[in-house]
Amino acid sequence: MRKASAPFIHTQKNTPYIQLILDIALLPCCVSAVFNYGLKAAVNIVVAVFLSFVIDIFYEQKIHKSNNYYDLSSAFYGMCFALMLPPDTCVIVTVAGILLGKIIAKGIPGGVGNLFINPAVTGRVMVELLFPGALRGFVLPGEDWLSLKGLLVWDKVSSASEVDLSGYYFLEIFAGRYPTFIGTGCIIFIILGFIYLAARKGARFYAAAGYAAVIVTGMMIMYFPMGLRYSLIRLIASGIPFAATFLMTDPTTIPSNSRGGVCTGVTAGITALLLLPFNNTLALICVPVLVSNFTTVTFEYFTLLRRNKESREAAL
Amino acid sequence: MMTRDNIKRVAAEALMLVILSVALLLLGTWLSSFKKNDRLQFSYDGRFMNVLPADTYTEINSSLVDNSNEVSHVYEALTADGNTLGYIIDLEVFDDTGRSLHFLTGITYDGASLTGIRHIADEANPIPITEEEISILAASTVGRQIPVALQQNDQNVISEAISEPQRLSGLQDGVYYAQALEKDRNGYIDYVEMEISDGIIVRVQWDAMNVDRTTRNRREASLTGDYSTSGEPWANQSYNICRALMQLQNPGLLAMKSDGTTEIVEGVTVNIRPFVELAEECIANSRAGFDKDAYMAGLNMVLIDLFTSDAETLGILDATGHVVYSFDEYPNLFARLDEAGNAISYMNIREYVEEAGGFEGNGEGSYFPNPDSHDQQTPGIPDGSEDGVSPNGDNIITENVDGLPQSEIRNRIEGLPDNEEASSYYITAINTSYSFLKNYLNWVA
Repeated sequence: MRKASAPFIHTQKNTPYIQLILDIALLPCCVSAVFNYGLKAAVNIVVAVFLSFVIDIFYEQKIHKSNNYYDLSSAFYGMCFALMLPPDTCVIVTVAGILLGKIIAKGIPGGVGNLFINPAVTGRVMVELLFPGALRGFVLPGEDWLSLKGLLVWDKVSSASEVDLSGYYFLEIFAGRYPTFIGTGCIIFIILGFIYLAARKGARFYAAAGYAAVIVTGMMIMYFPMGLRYSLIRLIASGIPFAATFLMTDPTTIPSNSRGGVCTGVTAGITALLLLPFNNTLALICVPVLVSNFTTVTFEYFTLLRRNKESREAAL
Repeated sequence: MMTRDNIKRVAAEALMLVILSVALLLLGTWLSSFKKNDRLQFSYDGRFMNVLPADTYTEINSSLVDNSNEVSHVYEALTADGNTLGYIIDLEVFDDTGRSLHFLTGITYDGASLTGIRHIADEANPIPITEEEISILAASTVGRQIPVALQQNDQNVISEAISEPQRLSGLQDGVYYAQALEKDRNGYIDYVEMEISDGIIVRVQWDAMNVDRTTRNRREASLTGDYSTSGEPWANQSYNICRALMQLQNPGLLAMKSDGTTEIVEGVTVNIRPFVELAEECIANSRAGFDKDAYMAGLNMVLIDLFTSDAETLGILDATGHVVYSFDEYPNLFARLDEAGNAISYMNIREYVEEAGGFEGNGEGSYFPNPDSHDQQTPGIPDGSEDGVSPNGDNIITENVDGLPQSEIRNRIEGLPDNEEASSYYITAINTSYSFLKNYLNWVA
């Protein structure tokens, strides 16, 4: 018999482990981003992850006076933010986005453990609103792989259309070989990340399932006259798979219970369907996630505590 | 709590994921590369099919494109066999205030014709023009040769030229006639008939009869569609050039260029060299008093010298009294020979008669050369009028259109009456495309 002192925790699935799994699940998208868009993408990812770590550590040490910060969520949010940038983005925008995301979504609510909106999505939306002209650097995959000159150029002129997929073959779209954000269009690698997350049980997919069900059903109805191919292309290129796999499974900002997750996902899905006609990839990725983040508390309140009125009253 | 084994396992999984991702990327890139060119061609098809239909398109990389302010891209249109059909120019023309018009123009490789033009309405600050207006302009330019100019400018030039008719000196009243002594490649023998009254050319007719007696005259054939030319029917062009001569009173003022065309007469695109030469001959005949009857008698004289029979006997008179015979089998019949027997010039009918000392007519009058007539002013082309240059001190072709000399202009169109500015920039876009290709292909205008 093995003697040990309490508490008797036998699970390996603590927060750092789950965050590590999430980080690893994002690696295929990061590899695809660097492969398709070159060193510019690599620099932006590295800067975003590094700065995310630095800010979190600084915040915990200076504000919370805690020296044992141990959370790999910094890398996850840093990668998520960078993967939602256009390929040719000034590194200053990346810095600004990470800073804004951390301050608004993490710093103001009270730091680690108090997140209720996704910092990556918040930062991305903020830079889009503040510097729209700096976020138009869409290029074709494989162009100027070694070039770094765009990293310090603020205003961008798109050399490729973000949304015009009429000339692309399905295989190219499936492989992410079309101009879009650096990590949201590579469906193969999103699927790879999803498989890894599911295999390692690194995330709960209740919200993602509700989200995907509403979106797929809605798109099939909306785009039925245009055919299955068109519907699939629109779905893949919309950034919705990325949002469903990585943003709607965030253990911190999305309900972890089944009912709350599904309700949140359905709400996000309906929001995304309403946004589909506007043909804006960023809005399709970010707005449903933010809506679900803001509704999480409500859904958790009504679903988690519903079975026990006394507990709910006690919670109140 | 993560153990070292857990960390090792997770790191190995991460590494495997990265390796798998790279492998998938390489595979995806390899597979999609087959489609890349197809996608590119599909994209080109959508953009260029209405401008210059082709089997494939290839973008041209040239320093001329890089250095051009207007031309941003140039594409070569090819057949399935790889033969060049033409070029597509992607260009933007700007006005002084920075407004612009963005066009795709298609130009043939061999004929420098405009195959199509498409407005790309993505200008930040566009010059106002509607798609309907572009369609109107395209209707008068697509399928025609380029460069292009507005007819309005040309009309001014014509008006200036015509407003000062010159009365040629020494003309005697009467009806004069001249015909080509050799048929053209279609078997037609051109003739010009001119009536002069009070020293002014009051009637001119240009037509041609065919050595094949079953073929109608060129004028009739063009009206029935049996004889076609570029531009308007030949009969219309003949009418226009005759009218212009009556206004100008001098064939030299028709500004015939070295290729036989003229720019200053609206609707005339055919080779007017036979007309000009025969009109000059008529004027020379008028000065010499060698009227139509004398000409016919002279022609008979030539036939008698050659065949000992006149035209009627030979059966080469048509219903209108014209002698339908081509002397191309007797190249030295009208030649003036030097001592070595080489031809130094060729005579016309009147000169032939004069060389023979004239004739005593029987019923058709007589003709004997006037020794003074040779000293009279030559009615031909005034100095400098060749190659499109107008006399009277006005050099028509020195005015240029978009940097191109007037002599290169191949098509003149009516601009939009309500939008001259847009018409002008539309034409500039076409001419800029032409100029670019001229430099790129080293065309000789």
